[in-house]
Amino acid sequence: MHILLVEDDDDLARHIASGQGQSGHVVERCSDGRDGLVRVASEQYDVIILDRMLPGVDGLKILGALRAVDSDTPVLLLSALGEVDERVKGLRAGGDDYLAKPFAFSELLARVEALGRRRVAAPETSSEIRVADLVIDFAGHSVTRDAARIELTTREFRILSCLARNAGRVVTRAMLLEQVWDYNFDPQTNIIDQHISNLRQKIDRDSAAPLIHTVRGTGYVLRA
Amino acid sequence: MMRQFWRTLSFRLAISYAALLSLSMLLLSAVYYWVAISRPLDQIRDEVNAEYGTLSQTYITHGGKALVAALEKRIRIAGPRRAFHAYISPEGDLISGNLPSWPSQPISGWFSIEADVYTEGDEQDFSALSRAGVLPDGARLIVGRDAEDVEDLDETLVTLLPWVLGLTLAFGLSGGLFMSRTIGRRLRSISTTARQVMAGDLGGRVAIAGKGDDFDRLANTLNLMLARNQQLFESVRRVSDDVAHELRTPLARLKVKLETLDKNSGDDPALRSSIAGALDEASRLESIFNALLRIARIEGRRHDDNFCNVDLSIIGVDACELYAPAAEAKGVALRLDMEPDVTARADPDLLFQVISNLLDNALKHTPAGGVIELRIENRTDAAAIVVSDSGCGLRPGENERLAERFFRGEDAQALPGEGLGLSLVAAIVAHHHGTLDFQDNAPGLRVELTIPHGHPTV
Repeated sequence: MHILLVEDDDDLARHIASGQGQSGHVVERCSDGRDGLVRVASEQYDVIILDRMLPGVDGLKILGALRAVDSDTPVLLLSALGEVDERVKGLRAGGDDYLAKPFAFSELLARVEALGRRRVAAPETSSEIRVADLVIDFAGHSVTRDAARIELTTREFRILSCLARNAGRVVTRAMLLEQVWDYNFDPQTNIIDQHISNLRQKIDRDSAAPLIHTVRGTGYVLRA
Repeated sequence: MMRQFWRTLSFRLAISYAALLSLSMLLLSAVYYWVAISRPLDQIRDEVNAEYGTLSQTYITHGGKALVAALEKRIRIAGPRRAFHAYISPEGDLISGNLPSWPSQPISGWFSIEADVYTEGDEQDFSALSRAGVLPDGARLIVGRDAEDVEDLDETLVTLLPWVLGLTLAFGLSGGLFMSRTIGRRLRSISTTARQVMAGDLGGRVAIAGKGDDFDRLANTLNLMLARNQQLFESVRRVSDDVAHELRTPLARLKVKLETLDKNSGDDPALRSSIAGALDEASRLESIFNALLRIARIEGRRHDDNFCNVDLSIIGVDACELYAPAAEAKGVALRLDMEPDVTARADPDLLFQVISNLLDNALKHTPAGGVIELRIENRTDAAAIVVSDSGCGLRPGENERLAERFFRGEDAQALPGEGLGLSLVAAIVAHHHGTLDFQDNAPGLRVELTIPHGHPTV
């Protein structure tokens, strides 16, 4: 993926760039908003990572200007302002996702990949997703594995859907909470783990080839 | 509170004002009485006394004829006060006199006699302030002077005085009430502003009436103080934002570096476990930091942009759903008990955070086989959320400190957590103008909080 990183902190930017590079992405970096705007106008990016607090300007202003020239490149806002309000403000201003500093690099990577892929594949529109012998039918609200129907609670279905839409990519715990529970909140413990464990029992119980995998320290991935 | 104030200061002011006014009115009346009544009467008595003395001396020295002549002469002399007299022989016959009546018994002393005079159909009112005496041979002499005007005045004053006093008291009371109400109103405006500032609106200022009086001066001073406070508070907030930025970025770098290190560490298990430990510590630091910052932000927040009418049953169900699997896995029963249609004016995200923190705490402290109950109830003017568990509960004296930052109960030291969860709950409840109460559930802890149905828009 072709990623534009607008971040004034050299050290952090270098690490993000090298980390993304290791994951096979091409990262262009600029350290101020004006430069970023110029680049967006001339080049096509898959994802833009924009720091909310750049020297002298609020990243949201840059986001506004950027949205005026380019309405559909996904933007991930990075911010030292982690407050729920700030997050809501960022998303309202046209951001697609919001990540508070300090973040785990794996969290950033997972979110960037989810944003980039969303643009390419837009799997939300398909009514059915298959992962190996697991079939998730969104229209019929049903799940089958190896043709056997699996009964899930509404919440379990939503968790599985979220994993399925990002099949093959890591979904972090925070991403799951944001997408499955419609609240902006901060759980004190890894409360989502038990939900995954229940879901796993229903999906992977009888199978020799588990589909839900834990990614250490990051989250979960659904893949064959 | 306002009512109590009304009963004390304002009322006392009004009463004192009325009392003072009445007292001065009484004093004024007394002075008037002395000047217009008491002194003139004394002067008349003195005059009559002197005349009586001279006349009785004339009688003793020169006999009855001379007395009659002196009396006749006395009437004829025009003076400011008409003269009256009666000279009665020892046998009781009137020898000379112009008094229409006199006491039938020979007495000595002072009295007033009606002495109206009819001249050509006209009646002239007189009242003779008279001195009567008995001469050495038994003849009686009564000498008097008219005091009708002064006595009239006396009578009028006695009739009017209660009315005057009553009116003074009424004026005093209403004036006092008006005065103290005016003061009360201005005090109330100061009090309202103080509450507004207390509720988090640091921009609140006391209204200035523009009269340049003491209250305006007080309001000016208070406003200067409030402005200074706001300035200080905002600089503290700015510092905390800066700290957030300055600390989060290096923390982010630290995490990225540790992760890179982790990726490149090869297969040395000891190294990997050290790095994992360091990453855990960094995450712990991050979560403490985030929690502290969040509490500070919510405590300093003035706006309630995200407030709306929240159906608590939805939040309750969602929160229970979030914790049900974890409770089941631990062997703890999680019960939800809701009254229908419980709503509150609240920020749904923050409310969910509150219930989530409380359930998380309860789950942490309740051993297998225990019970956690979430109750949502309708109170008169607030919605109540009660989370009770059958866990280790509190030691005496701990419940007052539960909401303190970094406070952890004696029995909870071994459990994970930073002691910030309930501080966040307390900050959110305060932001909603609600109440928070920790009780012994015997065994366990019972946390009860209320959120007003509709909170005042201060």
